[in-house]
Amino acid sequence: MAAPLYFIATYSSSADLLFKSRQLISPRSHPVHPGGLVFEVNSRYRQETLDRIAALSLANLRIGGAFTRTAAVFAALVAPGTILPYRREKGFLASFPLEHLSLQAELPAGFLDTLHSWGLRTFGDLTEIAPDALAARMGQDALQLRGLASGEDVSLPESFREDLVYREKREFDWPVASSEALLFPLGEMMEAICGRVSGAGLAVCRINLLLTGNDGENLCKKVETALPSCNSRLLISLLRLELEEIILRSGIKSVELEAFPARARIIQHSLLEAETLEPEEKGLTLSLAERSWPESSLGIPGVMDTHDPDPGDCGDWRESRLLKGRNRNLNEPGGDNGCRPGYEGNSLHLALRRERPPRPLELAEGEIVSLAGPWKSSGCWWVGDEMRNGWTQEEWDLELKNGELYRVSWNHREKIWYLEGTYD
Amino acid sequence: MADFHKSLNAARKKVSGVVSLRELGWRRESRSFLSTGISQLDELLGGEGLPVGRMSEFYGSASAGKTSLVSGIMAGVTARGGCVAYVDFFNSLSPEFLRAAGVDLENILWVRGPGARRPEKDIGQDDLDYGNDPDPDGRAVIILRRALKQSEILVKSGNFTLVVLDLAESSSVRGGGAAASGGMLLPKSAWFRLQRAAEKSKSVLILLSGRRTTSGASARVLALQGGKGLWGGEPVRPGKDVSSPHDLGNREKRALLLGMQASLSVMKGGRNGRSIIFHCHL
Repeated sequence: MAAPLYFIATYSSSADLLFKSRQLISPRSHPVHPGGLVFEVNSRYRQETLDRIAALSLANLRIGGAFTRTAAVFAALVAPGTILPYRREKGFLASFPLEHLSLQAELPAGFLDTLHSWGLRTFGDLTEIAPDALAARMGQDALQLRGLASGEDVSLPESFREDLVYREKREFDWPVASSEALLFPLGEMMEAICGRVSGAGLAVCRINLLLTGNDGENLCKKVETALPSCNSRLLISLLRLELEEIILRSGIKSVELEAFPARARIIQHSLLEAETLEPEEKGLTLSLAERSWPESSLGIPGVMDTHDPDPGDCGDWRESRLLKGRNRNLNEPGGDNGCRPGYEGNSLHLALRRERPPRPLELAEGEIVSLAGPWKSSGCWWVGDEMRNGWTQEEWDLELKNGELYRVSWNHREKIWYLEGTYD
Repeated sequence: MADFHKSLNAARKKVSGVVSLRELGWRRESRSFLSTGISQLDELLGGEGLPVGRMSEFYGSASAGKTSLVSGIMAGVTARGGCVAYVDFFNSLSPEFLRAAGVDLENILWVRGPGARRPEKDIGQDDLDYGNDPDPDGRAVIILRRALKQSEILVKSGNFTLVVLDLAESSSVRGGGAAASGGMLLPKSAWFRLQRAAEKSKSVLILLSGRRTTSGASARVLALQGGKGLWGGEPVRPGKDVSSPHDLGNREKRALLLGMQASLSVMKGGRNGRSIIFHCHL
């Protein structure tokens, strides 16, 4: 039986010293980081090799030795001069702070914050977490970092490649006439893709569906998931929505799926919080809702930084916290459904219901009881076509006899009164 | 004595063939509630607020305070991390006013409907003003049905603590609009269907409308009435010389609209007929 390899890591800012160490230890070396070399030596001769190095007393050379490459590098970088015996790597590294993981790997964004929020501070704490539980919550990268913390030689997380595409293609013996029948092969293809993607610790963020008709016609549909997911049923549901819109002139001869991966999401941000509700399901709900009423548009309300009379804005829901965060279920029995703190008696903030677009206003004589104004505003007259983009108006608040309160505006250019909205 | 009651009950069943619901294992369902944020209103609504898994209807004319009341409830929900879906049929929501009311806009899903009116140049044959729509089977009803379908999906999903379906017309003044609420065009069965969807979820569903719309489908019904505006400074009190906005241009007086006073009455599901007055401030 061959003796196991022993790894000696040397670090120095001096290239000359590194070269000397190479002459002394072994020509079999691999560069690590700037200024570092890891040597592989036969463990039978490790003591002899170490004695040779010690005899030279190279003061500026940081040396570490261990039976794993990872532990040797940590020893050289953090505790120079440490020579670890067999199977002592884990115990030696246990007291290292988690920040030291960055010495050997690129940490995912938010990784340390999440672990700190769980109360984990050292390599030892991280290795105590069960691998399955860690992988389920923080993905494959975290599992590899856990291995690193226990001193194992793991394949380090590769930097994510943007151009990675997973493909599946089926060609049919005879043309498929209905889009419903396509769902069966698509389901199989999607499952195969999801298996491959999740095996790599990734998730699908975009799918291209390429259909080739019997008459040579090509059709491409793009589906973007609200959040990266490996749930094949969910992805097929999204594809089904797209298929409903496809009108086939002839049968489908072949179908191809292209899946673009993204990093899997973190599903639990703190041990004290429940796992986030499945936002993928929420994304599917919103996609379904969007299609159920085509005349509508879904979004997140926002307020633009402008003096425009209507500064309301509607942002993309796919990018919002609404989807990625969790909806605290206030309506569970015993949930936090109490009064909002600081609510003062029966006083509310007055709301305005806008007229979009403002419409010309006609009022009969004697209808107005009270009014206030004008508040003059103008803007964007400097942008392109003034008539189209700019505005110049005076706003007034008025109360009618029947108690209705309106915001109206006088458009100077058109010499028309417009109803801007109703206070309600 | 207990034996006597048992035998008496058995005899009753034999005679009448009727078994009480309690004997069949029925028990009153424990239901949770969502506070409106106004303690007096919660009290009028039965002590705890709006029931979860039920539809509630707030109706009233323009400037009755419906939107302000709902904004207050939305602020309460979002302040505690809940999500709200606002189905805005007439596209009348003002995000800047919502934000001022303390609503966390990031937790709101805003569904903007096509609105009742479009610029004149865009109006085609099939564009209908819902209030004036003489054809109840026309395009307006189809769009309304879609809005209801969408609300049903959002309610059923359980992803939202509160779903608001806003079908209230903004104003009743002349100039192309109509006072009728869009929901009046739908059959009553549509509202019962929506109520059934709410029952299966853990969401509170609120319908805003111009007139009472849902018939018996809503568990709580509030009627809101506008009162009067609250003015600061000296608002212009037009006499005969200022009877329409066209005469306003030369006025120089300075005044400010501070808010309004409105009232609401419980019509169903609480202390029916009782009213409270509330204030909305800018």
